[in-house]
Amino acid sequence: MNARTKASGRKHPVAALALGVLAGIGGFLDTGGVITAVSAGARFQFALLWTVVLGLVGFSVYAEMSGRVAISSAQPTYEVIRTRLGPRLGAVPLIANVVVHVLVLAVDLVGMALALQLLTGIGYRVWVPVVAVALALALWFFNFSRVDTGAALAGLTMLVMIPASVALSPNWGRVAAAVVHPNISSSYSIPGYLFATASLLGSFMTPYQFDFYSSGAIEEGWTGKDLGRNRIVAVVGTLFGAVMTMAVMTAGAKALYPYSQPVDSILAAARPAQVAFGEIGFVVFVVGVFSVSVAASVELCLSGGYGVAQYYGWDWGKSAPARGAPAFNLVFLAMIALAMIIDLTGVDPIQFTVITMAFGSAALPFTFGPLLLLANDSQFMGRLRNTLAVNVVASIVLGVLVLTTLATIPLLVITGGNF
Amino acid sequence: MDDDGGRRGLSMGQIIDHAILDRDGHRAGRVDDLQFELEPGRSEGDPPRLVLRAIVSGPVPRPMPSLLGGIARACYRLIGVQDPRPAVVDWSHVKAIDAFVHLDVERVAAGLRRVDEAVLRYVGKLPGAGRE
Repeated sequence: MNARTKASGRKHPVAALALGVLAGIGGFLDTGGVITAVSAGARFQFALLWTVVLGLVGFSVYAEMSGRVAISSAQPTYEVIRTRLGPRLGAVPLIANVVVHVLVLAVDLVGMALALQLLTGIGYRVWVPVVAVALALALWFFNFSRVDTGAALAGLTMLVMIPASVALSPNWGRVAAAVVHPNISSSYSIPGYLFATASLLGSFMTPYQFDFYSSGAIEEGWTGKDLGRNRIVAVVGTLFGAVMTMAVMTAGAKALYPYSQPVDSILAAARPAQVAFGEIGFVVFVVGVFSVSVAASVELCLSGGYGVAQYYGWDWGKSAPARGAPAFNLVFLAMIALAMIIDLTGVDPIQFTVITMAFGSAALPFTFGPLLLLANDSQFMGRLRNTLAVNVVASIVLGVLVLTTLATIPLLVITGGNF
Repeated sequence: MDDDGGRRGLSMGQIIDHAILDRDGHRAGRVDDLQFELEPGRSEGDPPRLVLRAIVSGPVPRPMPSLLGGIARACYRLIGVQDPRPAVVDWSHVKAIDAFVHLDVERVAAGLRRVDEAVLRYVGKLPGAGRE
């Protein structure tokens, strides 16, 4: 593994923390997350804020578990899943994830393109091939870590949604109540509400986080000593993302819900920031959407490559030159090409986003199930195996997600992919 | 190595599906299948002995239904693997088994890097492929 030897000099704590925070921003808030959260706020006001808590708990528990599996086996999650489950069962999470990765990548490319459309006035379909090629070139020519860090830092502009939600002065008592108490008002369509729940969960807990997170941990050379850091990173990263998501949903609820304005365009999604801070808010939001989508795209490309390369035992690693891991590089180039083609078929970007997020949550049990099994394998985990408390929480989360998976297709048919 | 006495108790699951590292510690695919051979018993009247001959790794490692196998081979050809067949590495090259299967041969020479090598033929020509 040329990557591991190369990366061994990079055990800086700030770098490791950045890995977690990046995973947090990219996964909790990319184009899919923003559009889904604003839509949920616009349609159901504060009534879906509780899903953020479930997403936060689920993501932290499984991200930490994934890091622990990586540390105790010195192998990333998918490597272990493939070894323990064999070629057929091991292919199930791989296929589910690669399909979802490509769809989410299509969402993020369209997010970048829509952001550019808002800033330039030139139609997003023109921008889709431009951003796809730019992403491929950036990943090809620059060190992945540099693209990661750059996009993550730029993604911090999304923080504008926190003051925006404050400026829109929601009733904080009602917000706090909605965070801990699911509330289905009789005026809401139940299938729409449930479909929105599935979409939100899928946008919080994207499976690509797990290959990205655990492969990153291996590449950064984490050891048993890093367990504490593993936990801090998992919690800090996701907490950060959760606060941002709540801010986006709350702002969406304040700016759009009273006018029954559906989020049918990126312009509508940018409306809360615009109402709060005028043109500056609008521009900062659009730059934020662009940046978090870049960060998420980088992670998606990397994790698609990780998953496939680890399944087949090829070379992988973001620190390796393309010549060192050619098939790994081919995988992400192919993913970008496929995602671009999907975007150019003329799908409605907003509806496509919401449906993709629901599929994302439907795919989660295929990763979480094997991960939970592995983390309880005492022969393999030794004293790092799951505690009872972790198992109880993880099982509840998995149970909810299995129900979501079963319900996704029927809900999609009933609602037609609209909230 | 033919004598399995020293390896008693090693189960199939401890070998098959494991990632392979070559003599330099580089990734060299996965153990996709094993090849056995039936040998006559040691002396007259003994039952035949099952001997592990080789590990099999790489494109289309096991017999598949012809349609699926055809699709799999077509996919490999599409990414540049002209002759999609697995490598067969004699069991005598297996040095150690832990989380990985360690070999004493070099991966390209052993045919264990066929996919990466095939992709490298065109990907490696692109400008910037050698960037660190």
